[in-house]
Amino acid sequence: MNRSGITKRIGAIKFAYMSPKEIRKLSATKIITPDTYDDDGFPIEMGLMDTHLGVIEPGLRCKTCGGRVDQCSGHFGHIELSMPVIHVGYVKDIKKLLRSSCSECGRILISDEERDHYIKEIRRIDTFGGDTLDIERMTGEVAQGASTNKVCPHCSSEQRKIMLDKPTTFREEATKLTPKEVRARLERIPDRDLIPLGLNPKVVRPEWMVLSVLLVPPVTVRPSITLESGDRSEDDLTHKLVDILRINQRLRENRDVGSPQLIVEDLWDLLQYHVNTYFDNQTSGIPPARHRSGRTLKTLIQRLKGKEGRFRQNLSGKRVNFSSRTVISPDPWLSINQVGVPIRAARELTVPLKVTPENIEFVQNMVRMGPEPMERGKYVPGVNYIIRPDGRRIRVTDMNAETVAEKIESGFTVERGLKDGDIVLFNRQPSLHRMSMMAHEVKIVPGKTFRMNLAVCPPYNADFDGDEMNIHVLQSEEARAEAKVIMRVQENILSPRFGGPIIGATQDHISGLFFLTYRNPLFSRREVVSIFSNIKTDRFPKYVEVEGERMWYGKEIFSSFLPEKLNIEFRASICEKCDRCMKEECEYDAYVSIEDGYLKVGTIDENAVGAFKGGIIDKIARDLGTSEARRFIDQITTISLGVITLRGFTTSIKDEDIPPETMRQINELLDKAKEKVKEYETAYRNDELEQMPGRDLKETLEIMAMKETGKARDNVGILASRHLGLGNNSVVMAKTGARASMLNLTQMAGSLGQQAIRGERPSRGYEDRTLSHFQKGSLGAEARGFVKSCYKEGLNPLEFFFHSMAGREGLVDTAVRTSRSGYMQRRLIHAMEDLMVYNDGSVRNTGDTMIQFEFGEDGIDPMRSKKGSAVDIDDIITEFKAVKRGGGA
Amino acid sequence: MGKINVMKHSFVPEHKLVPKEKEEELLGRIKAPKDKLPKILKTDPVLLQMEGIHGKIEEGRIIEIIRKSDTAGQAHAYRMVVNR
Repeated sequence: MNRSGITKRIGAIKFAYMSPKEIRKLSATKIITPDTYDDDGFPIEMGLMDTHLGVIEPGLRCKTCGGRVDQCSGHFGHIELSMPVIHVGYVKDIKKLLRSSCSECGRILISDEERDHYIKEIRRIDTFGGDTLDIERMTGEVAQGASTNKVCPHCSSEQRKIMLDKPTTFREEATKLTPKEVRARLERIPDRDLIPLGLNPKVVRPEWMVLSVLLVPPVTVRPSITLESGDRSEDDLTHKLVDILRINQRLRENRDVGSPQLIVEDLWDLLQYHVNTYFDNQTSGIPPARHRSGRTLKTLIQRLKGKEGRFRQNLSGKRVNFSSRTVISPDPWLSINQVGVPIRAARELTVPLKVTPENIEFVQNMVRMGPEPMERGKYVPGVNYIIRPDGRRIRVTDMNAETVAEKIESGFTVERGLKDGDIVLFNRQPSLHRMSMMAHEVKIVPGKTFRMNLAVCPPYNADFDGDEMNIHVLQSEEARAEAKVIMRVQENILSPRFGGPIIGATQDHISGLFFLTYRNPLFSRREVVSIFSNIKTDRFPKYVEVEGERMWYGKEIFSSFLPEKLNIEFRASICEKCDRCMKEECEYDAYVSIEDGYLKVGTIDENAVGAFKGGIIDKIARDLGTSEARRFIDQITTISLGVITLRGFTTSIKDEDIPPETMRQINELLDKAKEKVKEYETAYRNDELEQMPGRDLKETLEIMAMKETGKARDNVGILASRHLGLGNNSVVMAKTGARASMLNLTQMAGSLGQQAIRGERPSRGYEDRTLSHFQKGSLGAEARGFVKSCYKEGLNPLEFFFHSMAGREGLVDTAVRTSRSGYMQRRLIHAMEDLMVYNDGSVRNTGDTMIQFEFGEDGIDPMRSKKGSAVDIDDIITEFKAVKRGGGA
Repeated sequence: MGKINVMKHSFVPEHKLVPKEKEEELLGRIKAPKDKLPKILKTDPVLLQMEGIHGKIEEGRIIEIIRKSDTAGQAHAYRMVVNR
């Protein structure tokens, strides 16, 4: 580090209160008039917009420092309060101090010996490098202990209980304490007694917590804006300060002429209110101050606090240049490493290019062509700005391009538009994990949307129903190099989230590869040419002669994209999970075996190439490197689309057609389930139901009913799927893992089954029944949300109602979950943001404190693990077999 | 010493007092000064129990904790004894 400028280390930060003396010293002017501008529109002297406080209008000069708008950052002023008021931010501390000090003599309510003991104790914690939190805890305990003392150990006067009426009124039993009295009491506390109460008397006196002078922020902090109509609109802070000044003046007048105590007190309270809302306009117990229009004012605390406050909005996060945002759309011809950037965006987004003796001619030629050059109808990058060594920017236009080009010298910087191959960061919100922001290579495309390969949708969680994404153009050579090494898409194929690939085929890619490999179909020359026409490759599959024609096997075609040294065995997603696995002899072609880059048997589907699950992608990325994995994903997704385009792929409600005979069987099955539930119900009523351990009778009935209806739906699924084979596109999608599930199909073709609310059968609604259509007290299947119909046939009104209940629950749950998990993640990030894994594998924070002695206790990088475990035994066995065979990596 | 020996509970991992002469070697191995270690209170029930075996354990001693770990089988952690 420490490459440029002066780096300084903050030794300590001391927090203290501002004394009135300090405020007056800091102040450039005293403010007395609540008026801001005179009739001519000039700031009034000793008003809130006094030019001693800095200037916001061009042309004027600051009366304090003589600077202009851009030179003077403003100066503080002050208001002399005619009566002291309590600072809302310190009421808790004031309460603590009042309670733990004597109301008569001001001494702390513990003996001198105790006091000195605590002072020593605090010094000890301090010298032993103790946390400020430790000191805080101790001083809290001291204050707590002192305030329980009913009699002063020093002057023996009796102590009465001090109460705080929110937000700022103190009361001693029944008598009100005015701020003046509070101040007087705080003044009486001797310096040495403050130490055990957590104050450092060298920098702080407690009476400063009661304000007698108010600091007025510079005008630059609260600029007024001139509207088009010529009217001035003041900042919320100025409004509040005007209120304070007005009441302050009235209070002083009334006090000086000796008005009745009541009036003075009322005004005093009003002043207190205004000062309170000036600091914090959301204190509980008082109505927030409002603008004329009814809008609540944004005062000091509101400026800083919360998501839209200064810290989170302006200091932790900032807006950036060299970025752009638009809708995304898919482009299967792009590599996963690429992103399509439309010309409009590419012209606007620039990369700085340093001019050197070596490239000066090239740069001059580029500049000469103006900001928007085209060559033979094609995009070429232009130059928007040139930057001279002194930092001055010159805009390049078609008019001045020629002259500007001549002026360029070595040492200049030019900002050129994007061109193919530039590295940019691509991001989709919400950025939930590191793969939400990856580095892509630019490919300039026509149109107005960002284009991306479909295989990178899963890490971004993107789809194309109107999603927008952002691009950030890297500005330095170091940033580009770093991004290319650690942020490029291909480096993120394996996810640290679960130790497997997060990038891979989805949807049609998977269906396509299924049709290419399932039961090894033959493809004609025409078909193979059509499939291969989309990609570049120098490995062509072997053909076979069938009736004098050259034909190609699907598995042969797929194998031509596998790396030569690949050896892997696993079960495909279409695996029927037979009791005894036949391995290579699987009758469903569901056991995948790849030997030395050749697909011997098995069907390629989600378990082979899918995002999250793809075993082949996982293995390639792990063993043969990320470039090879990228190549593999690019190629197989492209040929897959070739295959599915050739074959054609469609789905309709006809896919869920089931023969009448089976439909009858399903009906019977469902009726039987209903009957069974009825039986349970009767048994329950007759007290014949056998109680389950740990459950009462009613619960037993519910569990048994749920089990019965659940079983019924499963059986419907089994019955229905007998007629839904892999010749059916919907089933292909469900079984291969491309989209949907067998349950979805069962619900379309057979029956929706039991609807559940909070995991139980619906039970609320009317008195003793869910809907008025049922008998009171009915516990039967229909009365408790069992839906016999399927989506295809349609639901009856009662069923529809129950289905809507369950559907609504789902919607509410997702809404609640996202907000809750979002906040939980924020807290976790905050807690762990400064942790780092060191070279020795330990986890420490920025204070070098040990957090974990070995990362994750086992020191395993989850990204390089296989689903979390360090070794993959199955893989080792397969590799061993390959070596024995004489192949392998 | 309390009536229940907390160290015998299955949820309480094994605690060991690191001998004083081995401290230096240990700190060198994990490359951390003593005060950067996590802390354990002197009033921790396990420590109270251990004092019955080892005698008084003063501030600054190091306790080795051997945990069962889902990921690593066994994990070693070290804590420095502090008084509050």
